[in-house]
Amino acid sequence: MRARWASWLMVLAFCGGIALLRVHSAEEKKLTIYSPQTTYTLSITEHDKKDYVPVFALLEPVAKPSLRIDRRTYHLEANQVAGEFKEGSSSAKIGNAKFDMDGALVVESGQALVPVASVARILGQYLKRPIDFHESARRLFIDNAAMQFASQVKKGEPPALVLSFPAPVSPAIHAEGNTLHLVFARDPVFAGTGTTPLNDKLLTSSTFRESNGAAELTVSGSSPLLANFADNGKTIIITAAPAPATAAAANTTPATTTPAAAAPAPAPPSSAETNAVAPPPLLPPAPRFFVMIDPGHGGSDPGAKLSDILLEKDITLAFARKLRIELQNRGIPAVLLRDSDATLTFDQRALSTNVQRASMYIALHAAVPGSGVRVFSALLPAPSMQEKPQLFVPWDSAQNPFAEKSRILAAAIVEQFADGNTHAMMATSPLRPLNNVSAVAVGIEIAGRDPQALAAAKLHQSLAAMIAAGVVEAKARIESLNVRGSAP
Amino acid sequence: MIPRNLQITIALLLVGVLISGMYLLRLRERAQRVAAATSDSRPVAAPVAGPTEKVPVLIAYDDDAVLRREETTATLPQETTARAKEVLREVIARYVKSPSPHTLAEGSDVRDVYIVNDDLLVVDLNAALADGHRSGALLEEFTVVSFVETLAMNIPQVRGVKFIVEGKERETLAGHAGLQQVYDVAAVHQLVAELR
Repeated sequence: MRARWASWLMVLAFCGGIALLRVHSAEEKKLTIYSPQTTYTLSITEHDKKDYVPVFALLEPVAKPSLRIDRRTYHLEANQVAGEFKEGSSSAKIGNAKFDMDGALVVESGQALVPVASVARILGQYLKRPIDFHESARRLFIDNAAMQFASQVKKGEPPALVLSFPAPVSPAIHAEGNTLHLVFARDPVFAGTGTTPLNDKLLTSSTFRESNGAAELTVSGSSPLLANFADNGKTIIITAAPAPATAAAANTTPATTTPAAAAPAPAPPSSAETNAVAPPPLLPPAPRFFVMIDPGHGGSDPGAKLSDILLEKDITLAFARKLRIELQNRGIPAVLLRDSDATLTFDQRALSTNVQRASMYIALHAAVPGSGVRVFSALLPAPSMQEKPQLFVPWDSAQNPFAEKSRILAAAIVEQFADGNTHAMMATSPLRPLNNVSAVAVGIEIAGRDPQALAAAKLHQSLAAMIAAGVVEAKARIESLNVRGSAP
Repeated sequence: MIPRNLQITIALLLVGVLISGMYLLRLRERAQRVAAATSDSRPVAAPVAGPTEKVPVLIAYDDDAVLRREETTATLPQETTARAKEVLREVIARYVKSPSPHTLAEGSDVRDVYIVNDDLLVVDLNAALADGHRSGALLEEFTVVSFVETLAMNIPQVRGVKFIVEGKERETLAGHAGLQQVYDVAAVHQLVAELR
């Protein structure tokens, strides 16, 4: 009995420890410093209920300091200004100025720590440049580095909120119901804090706030929202996420009628019928079907240099735009992961696709030499090596549950190419980020000996039409699989 | 009372002991510095000697977009990592030589191969191979797959292969094929069957 109690206590202590660790990690305090040249973040430690940062690390990225320790006095020279900090003393001398740091200098693991409350004064004395410190948010701007942005609601169908920044930004974006959160951790973005009503039926309000070394813009809407980057990352366009396929098919006039698009929608029940039956049970909304098209590379990543003037990133974007039109013509909503020369990491591409819950993901690439088209699905570990089902899916095997359906999509596209007398091959591939995508995912590489031919709009048009037809076919096959319930 | 001459003698002797002690310490430090600069304590692989043997290799052919199993002859060491390094060098030599079915940059090489848990090989490629690699999904896949399959054919206990470049992790080989994952030999076998 006693042993059982002891084991329960141990389990409780373990859980408590884990919970404490989580709380601790969740509340890790940070100070972010933005200068026109660089942005850096310092971890904050607490001493005597005050926040502290290492003074050397505070100056290093902007002033190249040199440190000399004389017993308990720290002589810190930077930018040709000498400073003196004494362990245990709250007064400091920088240049000719003596001031109180609002807390004593603490030495920990050989590092001299100064109170966060004094960092603006210290940086100002050393750098002799204007400092703007948002102390409660722990964001410090050197030399007017803060970047204001303009926001404008563009009326249209659908309406869009256009955010224009003076320089490229790279916020972390995540959606939560009808709300979109843009977290700017490294961009010196600033706006008046508070909520601004947007007076639009889709876009209801935007809220800007700063905390713990980052800024967050929250855009609320009446339906799920989607963010797209444009103008090399200087513009973010927030608009409605694609509607369910049936609605999209009903609202658009397809240039090409396909069996899927032409399928009659079930007739609405008459009022008599409605009165006769019990109220329908509350069902979750139907998952919206849309294709995320990922034009490979972009921005600082040019991809393959196909010729002196032709870069892979430009060809993939032009090709992607054609594919979007072809899919939309068939009643399939499609979104481009980048619609400009923006830099996106592989993880950002996969994350954006996963967060927006795309139904299919198609990555586009181009290469020389070779010929025809290569259609890839993810190269995943053999079943014996795959991990058992668990609560959290490992990032590197997010594609596992979709592997079968991805092969169906790849096969359907290859069949369309074969019907169109275009040489195509199908294979599994370690192409990034296929294994991180939690949707039906394929990569398509067009290859040729002549780079100019690869850039031809006519080629893109015909290949895009075949891919779109393959997507329609694969969608039907996957839906029939789902109906039979034989696939995940 | 110690006579004065004795005091002077003892003092001179003590000074002598001190000076020679300091001189000896200095000599020892110098000897240590020289030894550290010239010696390398790492074990040196024994020169490969013995009969040549047939080495199966998987060679990529870009023009036909296929992988073909071929054989070459080489003298291979028995130790697993040294053997892995040599078989990869056989494949690289085939790619670097002109005309090449799948060109790799000049100077491409394997820096080292490590083994973990007897069945995972970690292959450290050099910068010339990775930085000079042509960019393309299939081109990069061919390099990686021909390396993994060649290793598997020559070292049967291998279950996984991980690539690093100049001792560090790298996201992709040249913008497409991921290098952060461990390549599962069974999955690569299946892929090779598709691409043959």
